[in-house]
Amino acid sequence: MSRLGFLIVGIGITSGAGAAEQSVTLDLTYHGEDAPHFGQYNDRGDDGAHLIGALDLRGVLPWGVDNAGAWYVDAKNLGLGTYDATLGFAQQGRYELDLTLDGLRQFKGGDARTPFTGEDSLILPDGWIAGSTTADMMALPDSLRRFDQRKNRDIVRLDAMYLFGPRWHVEAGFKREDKSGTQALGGAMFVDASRGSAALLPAPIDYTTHDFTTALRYGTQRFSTSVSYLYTRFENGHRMLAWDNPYAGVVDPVADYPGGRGALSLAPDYDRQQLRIDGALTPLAGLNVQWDGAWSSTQQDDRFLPYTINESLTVAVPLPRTSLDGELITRSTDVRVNYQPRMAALRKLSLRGSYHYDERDYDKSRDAYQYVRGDGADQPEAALSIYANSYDRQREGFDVGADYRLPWWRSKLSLEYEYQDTERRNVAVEQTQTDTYRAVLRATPITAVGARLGWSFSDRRASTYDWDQSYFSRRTAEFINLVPDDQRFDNHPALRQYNLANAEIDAIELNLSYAGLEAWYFAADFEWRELNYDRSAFGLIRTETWRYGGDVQFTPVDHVTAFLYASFTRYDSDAEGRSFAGGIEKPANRVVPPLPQGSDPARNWGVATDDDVCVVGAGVTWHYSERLDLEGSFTTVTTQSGNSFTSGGSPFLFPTSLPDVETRMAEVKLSANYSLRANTRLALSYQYFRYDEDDWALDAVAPTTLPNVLTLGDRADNEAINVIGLSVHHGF
Amino acid sequence: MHTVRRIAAVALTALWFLAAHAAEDDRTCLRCHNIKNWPQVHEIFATPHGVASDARTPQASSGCASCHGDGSEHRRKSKELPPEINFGPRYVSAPEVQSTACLGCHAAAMPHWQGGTHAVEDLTCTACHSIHTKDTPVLARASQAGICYDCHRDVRADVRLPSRHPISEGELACTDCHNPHGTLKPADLTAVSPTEACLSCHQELRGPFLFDHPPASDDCSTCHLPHGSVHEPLLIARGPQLCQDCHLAAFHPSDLNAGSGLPSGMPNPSLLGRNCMNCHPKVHGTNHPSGARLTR
Repeated sequence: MSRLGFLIVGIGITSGAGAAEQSVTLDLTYHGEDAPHFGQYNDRGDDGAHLIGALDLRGVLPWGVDNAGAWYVDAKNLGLGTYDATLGFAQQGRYELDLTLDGLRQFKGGDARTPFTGEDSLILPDGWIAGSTTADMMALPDSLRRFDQRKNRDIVRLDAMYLFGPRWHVEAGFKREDKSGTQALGGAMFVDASRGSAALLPAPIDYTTHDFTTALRYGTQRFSTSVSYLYTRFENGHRMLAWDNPYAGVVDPVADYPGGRGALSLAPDYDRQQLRIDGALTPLAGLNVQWDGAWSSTQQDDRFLPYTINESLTVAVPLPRTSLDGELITRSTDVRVNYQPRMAALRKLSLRGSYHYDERDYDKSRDAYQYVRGDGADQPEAALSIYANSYDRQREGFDVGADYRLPWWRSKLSLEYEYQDTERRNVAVEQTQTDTYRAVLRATPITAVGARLGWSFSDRRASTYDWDQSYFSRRTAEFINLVPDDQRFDNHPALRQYNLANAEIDAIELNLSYAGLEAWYFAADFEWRELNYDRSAFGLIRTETWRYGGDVQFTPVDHVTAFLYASFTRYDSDAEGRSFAGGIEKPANRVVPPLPQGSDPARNWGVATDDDVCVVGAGVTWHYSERLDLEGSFTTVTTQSGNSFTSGGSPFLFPTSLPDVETRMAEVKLSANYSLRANTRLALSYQYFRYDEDDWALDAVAPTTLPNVLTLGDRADNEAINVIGLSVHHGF
Repeated sequence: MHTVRRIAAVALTALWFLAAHAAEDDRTCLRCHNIKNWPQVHEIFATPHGVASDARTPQASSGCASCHGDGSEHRRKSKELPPEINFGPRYVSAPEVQSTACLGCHAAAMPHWQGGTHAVEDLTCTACHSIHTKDTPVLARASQAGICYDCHRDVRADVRLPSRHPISEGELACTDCHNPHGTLKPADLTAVSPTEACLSCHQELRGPFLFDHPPASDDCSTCHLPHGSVHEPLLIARGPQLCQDCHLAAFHPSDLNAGSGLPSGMPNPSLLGRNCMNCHPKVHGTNHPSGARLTR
């Protein structure tokens, strides 16, 4: 829908106090229809009028030295939820004190609807008619209400800095950040994967974070260091999201509506401390050593929710503990040495080497949880307990590099080798080792031509892929012994998780620029990158990225500047899988007839995806006269995500491709800025914004489309607005 | 903190005062580079570099010579010989010469410049900073990204994608995550790790949780892109395919989720709505004792 909107009034007052520049601006905007994508972050997505103010006030502090002390107020978008404002005092070279307010509104459109009301305890309306499918919920159409998926972020911060002479200074800061709003979360009620149902729920966002930072810094030209400390306290106003089960006849009857409820946990509270030391030393001419070390501890001891919120369900065995009492320690150390030889023969050479270590050490009790499935049935037998493992990781590596200024084309060649070793605990791969080689050549072969050619190759080698690791590490011995040996796995044994798998990564970059014509500037970019998971049979097999771009700037005369840019990106990926149901047909390594599903190549499937992105922008700035400036710009962004499926030929697989997901954005901005007098300025602007998308995950998906998932019925964004603006600036 | 820009405006007030009290060397320079013919030279007195009360500034020490060198040869043959150190546009010293001049005072504030990405790329300070003008776009949050896009043109395209951080809106500055003067971290991130860079704003995802999702705990970029993406929320691919790249267990995790699962066919709960997250919403981890499968 296109709808003319208006940005009508802008009144600006610019006042002078001495030579200081100050201004106060007030704008009134209006547009007649919601434009959620336009207002995704600027809080101008809702229709109606918006009063917007801006302040830029400053002055000299009466107690400042040599007029170098200042107070200032900077504020923009006052009146909107997305705004920022700073009040500060500073004496350059002495101190600085800033008080900042910062707001950000993030809005997701789509007209989401739900029958649930409440905040962290969602209830269904009186007279709700539960059913085994969404189609059976006869009261649903009359119960749906709209809710906004909106996240509000509000920050208050106070920052102070004081210099003790030219070498020492201390900083301290306090920040409080509040996040509020509503997001959509899926909530499932189930006994197992074949007996369950779900609903998308409006979940509260109610987070408060307090940060306190302090730092002491010392610096001279040859040595500098800083020690900083950060303390963070995160609190969530809601521990859980509970909801009435809208279904009946799916799970244990005592968990049916009415009375049956589901509950999921929300983000836990935590305390975190971080200590960091960094700096640099130049002990000799040409030699420079840099370091950065950090340690942090995050402690989380939120009280656990019960296994189930449904007290009618039988829970015979209590929780192994009442709270987590977990501590996550991270440590990191980075050191870099730069060396530039002083000998005349080697002055064009510079060398560098670095060492890196970082560690995630998660300390929590490894208990077995005899958990209730989806609030939908009694607590199962002890054999079905699951262990809560901790994920730990250590990463260590080094790299060495050299830059050499070649004797021709004013060029410089950089060569680099990097090695990285990562060890992990409680995942399928214990160790990966990566070698990376990089080369970059920068050159100016002829005057005004710049060229940069980069190449890199990485080889990641993984230790034995323990495809049954999660199975054995999370399950009880009693359960493992009940399962035949050839079915003791979760993921198919041929799957390789791409973040752990063997991989070869090739990349080439080329950047060219030319500024040899007085009025013209040209730039062109090319990038290609391929990740080849060469040992993976199932999972992500390959990704490839192609990117082309070009820029032109044209300045035919001093008062006219025009630009045009375009970029095209294609991201391809290939993934493979095998559809297998399980049970007695699950064994994946049995290759004798009758072939089980797990080892039947006819049940293979593949999906190739292509994401294409095209961005084009153009604009012109015309200083038409001493009084009149004109500007215009145009931007368009189109994306297309396609896919094609294949199968191994099984009659049970239907490899029909999905429709493309497409988005289209176009924006035109025009403005004229006219100086009525030396201190009075009139500006007229026009903006057109259009966005629409086709998305099969949302299009034609009503709340009742899925029998066992009550969705929000939200739609893909489709909007077009016109905005006209007028503003007057007056200085005195 | 944006003291530089703010102080710049206030310092303009004292322009006449500073010019009158310019260092001896400055007055030598300003005899030729007078305000009538070289107004852009004089604007430096309205910048932080021109604040005489700050003992760290050129104005408080050797004036023009602090950055441009002694200049004796240039004084002797001004038409033929430029000052020893030049920042363009007419005369341009080698990048390391320019950087050395700036680092003479600013080394302590950017300890990781040497060997950093921009230093290796031979970027000079003046490629981003306007030393003689009081308005420096790279120091203003709203205009900073425009300077970065001059080279990082791929990011300029990414921040206009349907799912993105609010960078093109001016609500997030490049320097909120990156330090252009170099760090010892990947991509010159200011945080102690890439994951920490994300969690400093997305605090609710930190946990630590009773039940982890290791890829999420380890590295956000396993599933997300930092600047912009075709797929919400900044995902590298859509669900359920993204999930199935790592999850291929028996029954529904291994199903082929193709076009037959659209509303016109047999509507597939693993495909429509929030796909896998219809039932497994806690993909970053959960503290629920019944959340072993990230459903709680």
